[in-house]
Amino acid sequence: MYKRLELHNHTTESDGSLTPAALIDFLQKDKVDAFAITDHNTISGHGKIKEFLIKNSSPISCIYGMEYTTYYGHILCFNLTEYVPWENINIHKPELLFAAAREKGALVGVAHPFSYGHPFARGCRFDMEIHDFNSFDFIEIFNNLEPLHEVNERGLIWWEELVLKGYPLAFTCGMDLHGSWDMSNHYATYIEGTLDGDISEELETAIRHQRTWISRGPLLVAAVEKEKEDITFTIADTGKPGYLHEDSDPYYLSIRTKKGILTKEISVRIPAVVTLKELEYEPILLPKLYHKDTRIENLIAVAPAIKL
Amino acid sequence: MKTIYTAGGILNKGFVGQISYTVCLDKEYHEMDIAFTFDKQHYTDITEELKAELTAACEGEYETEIATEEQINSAIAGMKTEIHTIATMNDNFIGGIHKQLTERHMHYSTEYTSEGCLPQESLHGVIRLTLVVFNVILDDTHYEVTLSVNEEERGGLHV
Repeated sequence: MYKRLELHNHTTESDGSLTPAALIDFLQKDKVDAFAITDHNTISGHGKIKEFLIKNSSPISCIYGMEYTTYYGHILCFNLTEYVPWENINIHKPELLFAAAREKGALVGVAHPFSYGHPFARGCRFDMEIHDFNSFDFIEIFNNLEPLHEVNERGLIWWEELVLKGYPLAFTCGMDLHGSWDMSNHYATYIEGTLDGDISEELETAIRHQRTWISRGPLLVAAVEKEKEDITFTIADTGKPGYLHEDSDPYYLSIRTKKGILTKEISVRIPAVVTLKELEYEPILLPKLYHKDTRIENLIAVAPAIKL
Repeated sequence: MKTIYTAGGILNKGFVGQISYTVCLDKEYHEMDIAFTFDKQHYTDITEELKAELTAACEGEYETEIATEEQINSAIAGMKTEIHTIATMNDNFIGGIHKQLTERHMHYSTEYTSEGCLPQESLHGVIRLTLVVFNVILDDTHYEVTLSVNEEERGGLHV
């Protein structure tokens, strides 16, 4: 099964307006399978959420984390159960904080890398110089709050370029929820899991193997048949509330490689088959799903990179 | 509550970094309040100089345009001095308050702990308060920190 995750959420423990209990209630009503608690620079919500989930036998799962909110960029951490000090952050060596968080077992990622920083809000844009792109685990390529072209498109392109260079980076997205905001038609993160699976382990597996999806509704799923030298792409429904698709609007599969972009029509009923020859036997493929046309405004889903 | 430490200072426009205060508690306490205040959070005057600075940042760093006077004024009105607080006790994190407040309390008692803070069974040893200064938009920005404790066994002052 695919699990819908909301991976960027704040509560009244930092600058959000929902208490931890209200956040859980809000996300459950939107049929979220699991969420991350990522308050700014505190883990004080963790205990409250654990207690609430146990007391109420809630079906939703929590991924415990934090958003390191520094002077030079925001760093999302999942599976972070212990506060790691960041105050000595060095703009030239973010790897030191990445490593310190990873040592505690956390998955580490760059949040909204191209957001507006100074003079609007210092720290929101990632201004640190990364020298080692193996030193962190993922990039938040879509932050639903942020402007599409100036911020999110740049985040997506940055991730694509790094992956095409061979870096093992996963991607996520998030609402950056600070209140009970409408989540319909916004991107959510999806991973593979099982009904009773441990969400922290499943997320770790997904990120370590770069098996995350983001989508406003349906997922783009690829099945590689090496013997036949082709890949079959299908569209899988997720039931995400608020997603509407007119049958008259065609879906398009787009696959980016180092050499270019291949585009094909695809539909819910008719999968798209792409041969490796058409892709010029490129080793890294980046599939995306659009509707109407392949402008970023009509991007529906990003699928995991395919490494042949 | 007994105030055992008060300190303050003045920040210059543009300062980024942290300022720490360390207090050694003389004995074990059951209630503690760390208060922090600062002034000049927002611009009171939107000057032509500010508008020019913002427009230059948009066109330069962000490769974007702010088209109208209204957008410029709105963006400047949203700019702020941003200072948050982090506290440790004996080098262990006991709380961080990241809210856009000019007055805040990190309060610890047997019955109540402020949002952002971790409940503590007892308060003893070395308390370190760190101001993390993200942005100061105006010169002569004043701030003050106060640490108070309660010797009573049970404390419950909700701040």
